[in-house]
Amino acid sequence: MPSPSTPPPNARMSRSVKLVVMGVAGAALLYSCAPGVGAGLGALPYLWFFSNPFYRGAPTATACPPGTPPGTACGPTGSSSSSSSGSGFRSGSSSSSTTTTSPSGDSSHATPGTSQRGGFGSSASSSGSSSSS
Amino acid sequence: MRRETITPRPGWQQKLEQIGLDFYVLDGKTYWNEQACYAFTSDQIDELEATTEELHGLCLKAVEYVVSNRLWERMRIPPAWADYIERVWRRTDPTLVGRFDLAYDGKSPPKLLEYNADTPTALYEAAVVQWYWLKDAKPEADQFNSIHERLIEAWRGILRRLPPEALVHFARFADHPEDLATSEYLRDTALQAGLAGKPLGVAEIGWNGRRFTDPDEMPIQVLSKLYPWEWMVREEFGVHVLTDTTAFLEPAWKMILSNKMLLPLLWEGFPNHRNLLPAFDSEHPDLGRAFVKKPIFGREGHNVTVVGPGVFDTAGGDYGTEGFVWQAYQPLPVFDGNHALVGSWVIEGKPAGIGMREDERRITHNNSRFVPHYFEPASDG
Repeated sequence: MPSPSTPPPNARMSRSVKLVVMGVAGAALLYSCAPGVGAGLGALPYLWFFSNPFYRGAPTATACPPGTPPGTACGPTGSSSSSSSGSGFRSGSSSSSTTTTSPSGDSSHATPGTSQRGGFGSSASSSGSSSSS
Repeated sequence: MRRETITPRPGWQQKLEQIGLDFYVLDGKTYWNEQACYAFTSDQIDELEATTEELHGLCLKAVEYVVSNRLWERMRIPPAWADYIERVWRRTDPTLVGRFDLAYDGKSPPKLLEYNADTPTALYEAAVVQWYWLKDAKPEADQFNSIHERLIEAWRGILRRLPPEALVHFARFADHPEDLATSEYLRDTALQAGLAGKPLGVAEIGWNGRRFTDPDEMPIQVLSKLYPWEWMVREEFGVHVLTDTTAFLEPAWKMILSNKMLLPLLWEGFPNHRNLLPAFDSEHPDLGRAFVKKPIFGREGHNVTVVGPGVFDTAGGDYGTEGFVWQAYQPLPVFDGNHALVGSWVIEGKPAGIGMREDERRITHNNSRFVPHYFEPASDG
């Protein structure tokens, strides 16, 4: 079976691609994933020492805004607030200081203990609606 | 743009169940409706695509504006979260999905009603279910829908940023079928991209004093959550997010975009933009004679009120304690008595497809019917 290919740039429908991607491997997997996927990885000690995996050290001054297409050249931090259309947000009393606080949990080698649970989810029961939008 | 009355596919319920959509009836009412479909021209699809890209660009500028000027109080975001949100924003933690709700009649420019940027649902219906409908019912036509491919590609990008053996957890409430379908579909696309994924309930998320954990005491490195940031912020475990030991999808800066205060902010930054409606954080003369009052943190149409000459609709709920915004009223187009709403999907920052919802009421809510769509490709190819 041919492997799924990358959608062409700016493709909005890509029928042929979708037929390949979804024809066999797509929705058939839905609800069929074994709940134990990944079970056992927690025993790997090094996992406990990772911080947020997207953390790459101090914020850079040339970061692109999230959602920027890959390969786009980005200017200094904050440049995304400039507008090419003549309108847009004007810089106010910017406090552009970026934090360089290192995430915690990176250097400690403490042994994990038993977790508390239930610290998330209480708002759902009190809101009377689902958590989606 | 038009609404066509059509004959459902023979055995359509079984067809839906075979691909995992078993909630085509919700609360005793039709949710998936294939007795009708919406038809667009290629030019109209072009306009929706361009508008979606434009609006997402404006929204990114709004995030930068809020972060740079520390408008946390205005956004009703606790200041204690400021540094964390800024850090996540600056280092470009990835984003997967969002959905603009647009008022569009096929003639006038689409208008932004709101951005469901944090916990959008009806993703599976838009990406997969209506695609299979198209293959069966309108095989000669096309559909604005590359959601599935773009999701897999987005996950591949995330995979490249993760360490070996990384695992993504998917948290949701399993007793809400539309939430479960959206979360499971996201997990499915992650698996197809080569990632390992593990589901859990929101209330099963644990904290062991150093890290978030799953019920097997496995550390949660990346959490795809279908649970709103504004709820997480105020709950017991919210403060532990600030340790930044877990990555979240969607990232915390989406708190700024899923917030209705975004609407007046955009109108201030881009007044009279063709795709924006006048919006303010209080009643304002520029609203005109008809307006919509929306809770700053609201979901599924709850506590939304439409007021105007000869027009009134309101939806109950428990939202609004953080305040409201006011937006000029843009009536949804009505087809055969149905108010039609365009949900335009953004995957990894790019427009990816649409899903149509319709309702007898002016206010769209979570049980509003999903109706498939198609368009005729331009004949000049």
